[in-house]
Amino acid sequence: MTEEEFDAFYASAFPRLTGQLYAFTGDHGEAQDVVQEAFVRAWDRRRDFLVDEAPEAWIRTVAMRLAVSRWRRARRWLELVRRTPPPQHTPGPDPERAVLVAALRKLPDAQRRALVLHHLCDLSVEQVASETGAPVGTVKARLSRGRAALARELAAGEGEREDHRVR
Amino acid sequence: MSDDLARGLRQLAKSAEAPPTVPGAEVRRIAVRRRRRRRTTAVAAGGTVAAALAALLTVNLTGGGTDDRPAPAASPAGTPATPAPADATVDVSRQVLVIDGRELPVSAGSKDAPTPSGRMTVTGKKSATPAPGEDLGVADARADAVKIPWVISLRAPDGSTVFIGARGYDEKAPGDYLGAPGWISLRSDDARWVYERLVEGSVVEVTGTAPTPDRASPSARPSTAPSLVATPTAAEAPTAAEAPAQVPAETVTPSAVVRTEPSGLREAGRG
Repeated sequence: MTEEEFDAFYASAFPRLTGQLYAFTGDHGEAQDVVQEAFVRAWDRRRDFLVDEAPEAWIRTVAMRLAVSRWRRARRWLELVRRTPPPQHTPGPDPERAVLVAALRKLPDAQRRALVLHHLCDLSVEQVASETGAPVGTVKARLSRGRAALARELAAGEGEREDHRVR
Repeated sequence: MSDDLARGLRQLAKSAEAPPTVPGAEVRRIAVRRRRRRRTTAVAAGGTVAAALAALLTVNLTGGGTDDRPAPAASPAGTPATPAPADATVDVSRQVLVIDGRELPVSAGSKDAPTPSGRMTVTGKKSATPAPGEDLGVADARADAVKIPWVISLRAPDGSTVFIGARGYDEKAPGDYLGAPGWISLRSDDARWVYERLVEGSVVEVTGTAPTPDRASPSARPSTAPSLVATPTAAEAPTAAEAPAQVPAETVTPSAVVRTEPSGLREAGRG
């Protein structure tokens, strides 16, 4: 991959991947951060990266793995305890979206990842299995449990809200 | 439900799409710099370890209770089976990191957020964790984009991860600084010193327990030390009921080695 090809790929795939990672992490900054780090690693390891036939999937896998790593969690914790001034917020998402983000975050990483890969990135169960390194049966279990847990979370929230209809 | 879920996720993702803040050329540049740094680290490794070993023979290490500690053989795969001399030691009681004959002041652990003890192995290094254009989305309440330079990750005997890094912010302010669980913080220059002397596989030994509230005065430290304000926090009544059994320092001799419970650390560390 030449430098021009990489830059073009980066410019076109970055927004899409950032959106997907946001669905996974629920955190804009974190999503951008891990996607960018994944691109840095892609260029660093471009020989391995090129052997892969699906570069976008490679980036996404690395980014998701980064998002769940303990390193990042610890660093985040450290940032949170420092007395730093509150940041500027992005314009708030509409309430339904916020509800979905909150419900998703309650799920275990593995279930959330399977749901995002299958329902958002449109990967087949087999593709999800290969991207996550888990057996197909496990992926199916994560999907069904994830959907059930999500439904419970959203229904529980609905009891509290009167105006919003969320399924 | 699946269709609604797919639609919801797509809306979510669409709403978060944003062009990169850092251009592709810069991304490539970062990658190239990183590769160059890896190469120099590999070259320097030989000389560094030899120098550290020589220094250790002359430095009096605290917490000489190597026999008291459970056998290293119990530690997870990856740590050496035969205990080799550590490349650096951290004495939490005295809040210093000893390396290459130097004693560097650190902030490590507090009553509610202890740093695990024992022999640890360096698993990775990062000179700075970039946080470009980081702003927070829905769920997080605070935190701003912060660069944490000179970070080294270690694997503790219980499998948890500990970090050595520069505090990086306002090092002179005595304000309150919570000893973050799993972090050993140094001044930036000191952190860089340590960073340049430890490599993947280096061994760091952590001993001691966090000091009592009496040691709150930063001016008691010899050099321009980071403010030791982990201790004022510990002075408050320990609220964390699940905090590991940390006995007050007066009942523990400074040289004793205390194994902290890993479970409490993990709870505190989960962001």
